[in-house]
Amino acid sequence: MDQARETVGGKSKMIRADNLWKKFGRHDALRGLSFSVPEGSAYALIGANGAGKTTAIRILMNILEAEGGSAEVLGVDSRRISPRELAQIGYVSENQDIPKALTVAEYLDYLRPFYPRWDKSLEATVMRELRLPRERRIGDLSHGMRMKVALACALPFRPKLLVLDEPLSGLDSLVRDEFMAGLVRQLEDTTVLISSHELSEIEGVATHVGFIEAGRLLFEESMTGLIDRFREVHVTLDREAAPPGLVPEEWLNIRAVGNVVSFVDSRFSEDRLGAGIESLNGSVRNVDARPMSLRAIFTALALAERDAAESKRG
Amino acid sequence: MIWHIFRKDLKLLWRMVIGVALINLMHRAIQSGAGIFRNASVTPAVLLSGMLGTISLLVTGVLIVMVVQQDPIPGFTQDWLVRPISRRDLLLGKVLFVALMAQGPIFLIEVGQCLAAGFPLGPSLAAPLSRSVWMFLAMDLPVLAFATLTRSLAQAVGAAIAIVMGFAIFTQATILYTNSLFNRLWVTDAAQVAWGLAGVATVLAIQYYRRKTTGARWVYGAAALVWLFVQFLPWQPAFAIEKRLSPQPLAADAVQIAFDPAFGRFHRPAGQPAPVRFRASRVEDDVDLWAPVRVNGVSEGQLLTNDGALERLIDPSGTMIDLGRSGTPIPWHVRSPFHYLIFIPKDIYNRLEDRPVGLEIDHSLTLLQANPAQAIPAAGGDRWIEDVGRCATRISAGGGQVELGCLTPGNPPCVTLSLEYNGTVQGAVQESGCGSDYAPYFGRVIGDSISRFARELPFAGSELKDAQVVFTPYHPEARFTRQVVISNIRLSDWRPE
Repeated sequence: MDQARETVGGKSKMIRADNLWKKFGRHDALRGLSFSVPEGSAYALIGANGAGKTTAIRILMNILEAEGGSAEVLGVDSRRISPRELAQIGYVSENQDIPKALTVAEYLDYLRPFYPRWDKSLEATVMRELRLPRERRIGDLSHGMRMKVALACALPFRPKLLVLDEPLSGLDSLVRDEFMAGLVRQLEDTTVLISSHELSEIEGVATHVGFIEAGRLLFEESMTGLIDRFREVHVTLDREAAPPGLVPEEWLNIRAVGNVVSFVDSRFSEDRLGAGIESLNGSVRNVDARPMSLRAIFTALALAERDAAESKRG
Repeated sequence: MIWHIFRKDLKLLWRMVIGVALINLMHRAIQSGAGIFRNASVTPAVLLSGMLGTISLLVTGVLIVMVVQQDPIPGFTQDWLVRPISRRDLLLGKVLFVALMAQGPIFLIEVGQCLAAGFPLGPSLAAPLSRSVWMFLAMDLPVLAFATLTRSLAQAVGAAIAIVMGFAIFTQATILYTNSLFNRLWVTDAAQVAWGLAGVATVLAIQYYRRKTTGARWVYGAAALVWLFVQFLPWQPAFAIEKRLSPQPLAADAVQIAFDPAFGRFHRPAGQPAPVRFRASRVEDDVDLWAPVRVNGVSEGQLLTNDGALERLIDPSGTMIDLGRSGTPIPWHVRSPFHYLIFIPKDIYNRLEDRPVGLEIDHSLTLLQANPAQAIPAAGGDRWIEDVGRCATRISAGGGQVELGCLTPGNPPCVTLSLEYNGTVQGAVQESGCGSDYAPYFGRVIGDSISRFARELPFAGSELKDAQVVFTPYHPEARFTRQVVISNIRLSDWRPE
C-alpha cells in the first residue's frame, strides 16, 4: 500500500482527490475538486460555509460516494477503504454521533479492540491532558467535551492520518485551546487534514493550505509560501487618492481612503510591488507592506471571489 | 469482533431486553395460569393475555429496531462509519443480538412454560426451538432489515404504520380471492418465508455493504409486495410439493373414490338449515348439492382427510364451468358411502338443473395412519400421552359429561377421542386437529409453543370408576390426489330431500 502511494518531490501523498464531483439534488456541492495532502503535513482545507469541505472529507472517508472523479487515501481508492485503512485514520467531526448512552470509559473500552496499535498509556495521557471525566455519560457532556472525547478516541492508536472536520465549531475559546494543545502535543509523524473556520487556531498547526470555493479548489500551497506571498499593502500618496484604473491582477480588494490606497498583494515581491506602485497616479510618500494572518488572507480571498462573481453576473 | 459489538449493544439496551422478556413472561404466565381445562368464556385474563401477546410482538419489534439503530445505516454522521469495524461483523453482531436477546428469552420462557406444563424435556425443547427459529426467520429478520432502512425510532414507527395500513388495504382488496382459499398449505407459508428471506438478504447486503438506502427501500417494498402475492401460489403445485414430501407416498395407492348413485339422495333432517358459503363476509347465493360418494382402500387404523377440491361442471355443449375451490379440511368417514357437498351458484343451477351435465372433482387428500391407542381414566386422569401431549380429565360440574383438556408442545395432533366403559364406546368418537396443516415445523407467530384443545364427552351411565378416555393419535403418511368424474347427471336429482 505504501509503495503504491503517489510520490511527489520525495514525499508521498496521504490523500489525493482528483476531479471530484458531487451533487445534492440540483446543487453542485463539488465541481471537479482536486487536491493532495503530502505525508507529514498538516493540511488546512479552508473555505466559506457550503464551499464543499465536509462533502469532500466525507467522500475521502467513504461516507459519501462521488458522482465523478476519484480519491485515494493512504494509497487506497477511497471507495474501497477497509478496516485496515480505518485502523490508521483518526477522524473527528463536529457532526459525529458518538454513542451517548455510554460513559467515556465504556466507549474507549469498546473502541480499543478495533485498533491493533492502540496505546493505553497514550490514551491515559490524552485523557489527562484533555481533562476528560471517564465515568460521565457522553450524552451528559457539553458539545465541547464531546469533541474532546472524539479527539481522545482518535489519537491513542497513533494514526498515520488524522482527519478533522470543523473540530472547533461551537467550542469556547478555553476548550478550543485545550483541544488544539492536545492535538499538537500528540501529532508527531501524523499527517493531518483539517477543515475549520477557526483560522487563527489552525494557523499555528497547518503546514499546507487548500482554499476551496463553491466546490472547486482555488489554490493550494504550503503555509510558508502563502504567508510569504500575501501582504497587506498601504500606499500613502501626497494627495487625495482615487481608485486606480489598471492595476496588477494580483492586487485584491483595492480601496482608496483619503490619500491612502490599500490592497492585498497576493504575489508579493518587493520588486513587483515597486513596479506596480509606479502605476498609481501621484507621488508616493510611504509604502507599508505587512505580512498577513491566515484569517486575513482567507477574508481577502473570499471577498475577491465574491467581487469577481458579482462582476461576472453584473 | 461480533461478540464485542454484541456486548456493546447489550450494555446499551439491557433494560429494554429485560422489559421485553418480562412482557413475554407475563403473557406466558397468564396463558399457563388458565390451566389445562379451558372454557370458551372471555375472562379478563384471556383479554389481558391476548393484549400481551400483541404487545410482546410489538416490543420485540421495537427492540430489534433499537439494536440496529445503535449503529444506523442511513446518514453521514454515524461513528461506526469511520471506525475499523468490519461491516460483516457489524451485521452479524446485530443478528446475534436479535437471536440471543430478542428471541432467546422467549425461547427460554417457553421451554420453562413447557416444562411447567409437565412435558418431557425433549418436546419441551423442540417446540420452543422450532417456534423461535420460525419467528427469527419469518419476523425478526424482516424487522431487522426494515430497521436498517430507518434512521430513528420515530421514523421506523411511522413507516411501520404505513406498511400496516398498506397491508390492510391489500387484504381488503383481495379478500374476495383469499376467502376462496379453503386451506393454507405449509408449503405456501414456507415459500412466503423463503421469499421474505431472499428479500431480507438483498436488503441487508445493500445496506451493510453499499449503504444505498433509497435503493434498499425500493427493494424492500417490492419484495414485500411480491411476498403478499406469494400467498396466492396456485394450489396444485403447492400440494404437489407436499405430495412429493409424503413419508409413505405409496400407502395411498389402494385408495379409490367413486360416485355411488345407488346410495341415493341426501335427506336433510327436519329443521336443519341448508349450508351456506361465505365470501368476503357475505353469504353466497348458492344451491347445495349432495353427491353420493364411496371410498375404497382405506383400511382399519387409517383416516382420510379431504384437504380441498377443485370442482368443474361440464354443460351439455361441453363447455367447462369452473366452480372454484371448496372443501373443508376434515376427516371423511369412509367406512360407508357418504354425501359430498358441492355448492353451485344459483344462476348456473337454474340454467342447468334439469339438463344432462358432467361434474369433475379433483380431490387433494391426506391418508393418516393410527399410532397405538392410549387411555387415561375418565375422572381425575392426568398424564403425558405420547404423540398427543399432557391430558387431564374431570367430571363436569353438572356431572353429565367428562371434561377433557390437553396441552401439546407444538402443532396440534390429529387424534380421535372416545369415552369407553367396559370396552364399549359411549357416545360418538370425536376428532381433534385432523385436517390441519402438516408442517414439519412449528411456526406459529401469535401465542406460545403450546397447542391446546378441550372436549366435553357426554356420559350416559352413572358409574365412571372404570371408564376411560381413549386417544388414538394419527400421523400423516401420504398426501395424494384423486379425480372423480361424474357424467351425464341431472343436478336436480342431487338436491337434498
